[in-house]
Formats: sequence, structure tokens, C-alpha cells
Amino acid sequence: MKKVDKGFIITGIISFFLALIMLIVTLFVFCFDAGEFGVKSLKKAWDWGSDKVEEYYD
Amino acid sequence: MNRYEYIEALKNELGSVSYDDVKSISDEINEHFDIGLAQGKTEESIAESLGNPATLAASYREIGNVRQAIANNRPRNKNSIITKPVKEVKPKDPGAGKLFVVLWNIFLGIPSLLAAAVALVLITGAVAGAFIGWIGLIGGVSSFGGFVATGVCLAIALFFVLVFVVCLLYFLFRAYMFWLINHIRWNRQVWNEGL
Repeated sequence: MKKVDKGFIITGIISFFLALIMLIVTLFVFCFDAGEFGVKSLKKAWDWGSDKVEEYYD
Repeated sequence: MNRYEYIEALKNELGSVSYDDVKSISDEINEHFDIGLAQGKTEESIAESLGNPATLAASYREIGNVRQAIANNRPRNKNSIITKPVKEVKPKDPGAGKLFVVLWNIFLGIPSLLAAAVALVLITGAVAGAFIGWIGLIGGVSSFGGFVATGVCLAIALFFVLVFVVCLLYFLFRAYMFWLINHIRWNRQVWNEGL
């Protein structure tokens, strides 16, 4: 086997596993970001609702 | 020594010879036994006429041709030559080979090679396009709002995917070149030697 072939095989295998790991990490990070975004949105909605309730009683 | 003992002894003596060669040699020897038995000879006398298995194996390793090795290995002083019908070898027809190469290449060879070349070019183009898209992703990651971290991770993941695909592409090119060169060699052989 040529040296270049060996290099491409090793690079290919390493990059395949790194890509797999990074895609899983991306999924986790996305879930975290989406959760944070959801909590922020919920908080905004809660504040908006509270203001409306206050306005109503005032 | 009977047929089985002779072939087993020969196999042992052949040692590092490849499995296919050992099989073809034992087939040849079996054929000799069959012919000898049909001529009314005993397995022992046939084995004797074939000579010592050790010298036959050595002779084969040296020459690389079973029939020649058997002929060389036969004891000279014994009148035990088994006559084996020589197979008639038909001369090849170079005209048919040329016609075959032309027709093959018109209908199958060149179209399939061209289709594979086009597919390779398209895949390469797709990879180049994906690389440009990746650069775009890097540039636009700051505008992801609350998803910047996701964008960065995705960019890193896609980078590794791209590296992996480039490695695959390299081997696809190698396979294509291997196919092309062997196809040309085979065409040349059929063209010159006929079918």
C-alpha cells in the first residue's frame, strides 16, 4: 500500500469518528440552546401576562 | 504408494505453493491416475511412474508447470509412461477479438466509463459546493442569535464530514483509474490475441 493511501485511510477514519462525535455534541448543544431559548420565551410570555393582569386590576 | 498417499505426500512437499496451484496440481495428478487405471494399471505402478513426490514438488517449484514437472520427474529407466491425450488447442481468432473490442466499447465500455467519469465530476462539484456553503456558515454563525454555540459545533462537525468525504473521493478516483487502466489492458489483450 502506498504511503499516500495510508495517510488518506487514517485521515478518513479519524475524521469520520470526529465528525460523528461533533454531530452528537452539536445535537446536545442545540438542545441546550433551544432549552435556554424556550425558558427565555416562557419568561417573556410570563412577564407579558403578569403586566396584563396588573393592568387589568389597576 | 496408492493414489491418496501419493497426493498427500505431494501436497506436503509443495509447502508454500498457493492453494489454487496445489488444487490444479492434485487435479492433474488425479487425471493421470484415472487414465492409468483406465489403461489397466494399478495405483502403485502409476505412482511409481510419476516418480518421487518430493522431486516432483521441487521440479514444479522450479518450472512452474505441472505437466513439464511430471515429464521431468518420470523415472527414465522404466517403461511406464502413461500416455495422456494432448488437448487440442484451438488457435485464437484475432479478427473476432477486434470486432468484440469495437462492439464492446461502443455499447458498454466507453458509455460506462463516461458515466462513471461524469458521476465523479458531479460528486467533486457537490463537495466543492458544500465547502463554499461551509465557508458561508462560518461567516453567518454570528447572526444565529441564541444558537451561536450550535452553529460553531455544526461548522466543526461539517468540517470533519468534508474531510471524510474528500478522503472517500480520493479512493473513488483511485478505483476509477484502476478500472480504466485494467479495461485498456484487457482491450489491448483481446485486440491482439483474439477471443
